[in-house]
Amino acid sequence: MRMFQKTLGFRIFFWVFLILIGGFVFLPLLWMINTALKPSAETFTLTFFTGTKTLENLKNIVTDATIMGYLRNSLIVSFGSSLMATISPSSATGAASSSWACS
Amino acid sequence: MKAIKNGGRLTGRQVGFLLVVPGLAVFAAIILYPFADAVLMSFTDRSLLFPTSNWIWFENYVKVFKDPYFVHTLITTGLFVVLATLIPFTLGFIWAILLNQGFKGSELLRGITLVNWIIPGIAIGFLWSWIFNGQYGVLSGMLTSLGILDKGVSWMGQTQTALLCVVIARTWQMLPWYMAFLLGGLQGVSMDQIEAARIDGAGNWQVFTHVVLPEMRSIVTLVLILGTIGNLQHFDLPWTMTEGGPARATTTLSIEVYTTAFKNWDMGKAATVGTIWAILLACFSFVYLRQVNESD
Repeated sequence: MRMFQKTLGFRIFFWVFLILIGGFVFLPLLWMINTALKPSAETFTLTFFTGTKTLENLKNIVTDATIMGYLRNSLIVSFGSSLMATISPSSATGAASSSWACS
Repeated sequence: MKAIKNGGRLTGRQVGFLLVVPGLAVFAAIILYPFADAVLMSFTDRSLLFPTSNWIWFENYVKVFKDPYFVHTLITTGLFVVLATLIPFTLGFIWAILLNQGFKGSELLRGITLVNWIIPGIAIGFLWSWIFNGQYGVLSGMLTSLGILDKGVSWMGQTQTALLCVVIARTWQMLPWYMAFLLGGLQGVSMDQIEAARIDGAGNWQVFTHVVLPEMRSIVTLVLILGTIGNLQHFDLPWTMTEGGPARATTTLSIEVYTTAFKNWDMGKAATVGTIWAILLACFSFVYLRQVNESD
């Protein structure tokens, strides 16, 4: 059984908000992926998955030693802080709940 | 000498105290000390420009409360907190209700929605400042090609819309968080009660207002309080998108503390604003703790 019955009113509510919220949530995400796949000359054009596509940007990042160094730093910070927050007895609850709330 | 009486052994109380000591020491070192230090600093005129500082009692507080911009900062913070809590809460609730209907692909949608929340705040800030940009922004571009606008509008560059831009970005970031909590709450609502209400002739709206909402009362309160606290602390989006501008239109308390401390080098005043901010947060944390204790 479903929580709400599929009356006409509910169907309208369902589809209107599925499209509105779905668009709001997913379009920027898709736009980000879309931009990541564009060659740098076309970065500022308004094409949406239609222009030329390239994996050049991704390749540049993965092979860039500096950025990989940043990734290593991020991993150290995130694993380190989670570990310390878990083992230090009193701050564990505080740290966990604050990262839950503010991120 | 109690300890001698029972053969040199520690009493239960003493053992308990010893077990708490390491935790208290860590707490004192990493939370209490910096906090106390900041509160003490708020009574000095410490500045990064001078090596020495003087104890000036409440002068900083008088300065802050006389500052006409400070009231403006408080209003901006309040507006940001209210909008950036209620909008994602409402949208997240609706989204949770839709996904809870269990249509084909709803589980997948639920999973992808959480991606927004995982993306770092800085990246979200840049993503949305790109969307709202006046020259090459996606929003202006689309509105121009639809013929609604003649030329691009710099949404983050005008005081009337800047805060709204940050709120929209924050909504996008936090919607999955509200959805996850509220979806959990929705799944905890007893279907028997809903069925009983239906037999008594309740429609969807009545089921929602008389069965679902009352059962979700504690989770809704919890999410709203946590959301409010999170928004009061929030820094990344207003900083990366507008740096508190234009004309202080998006300067919240967190931005104010940062700019006072690390742009104007006035540590004493920054600590004062920080202390006031901490007192504000403490009020909400108090409500949160009481709510948690009640629902236990």
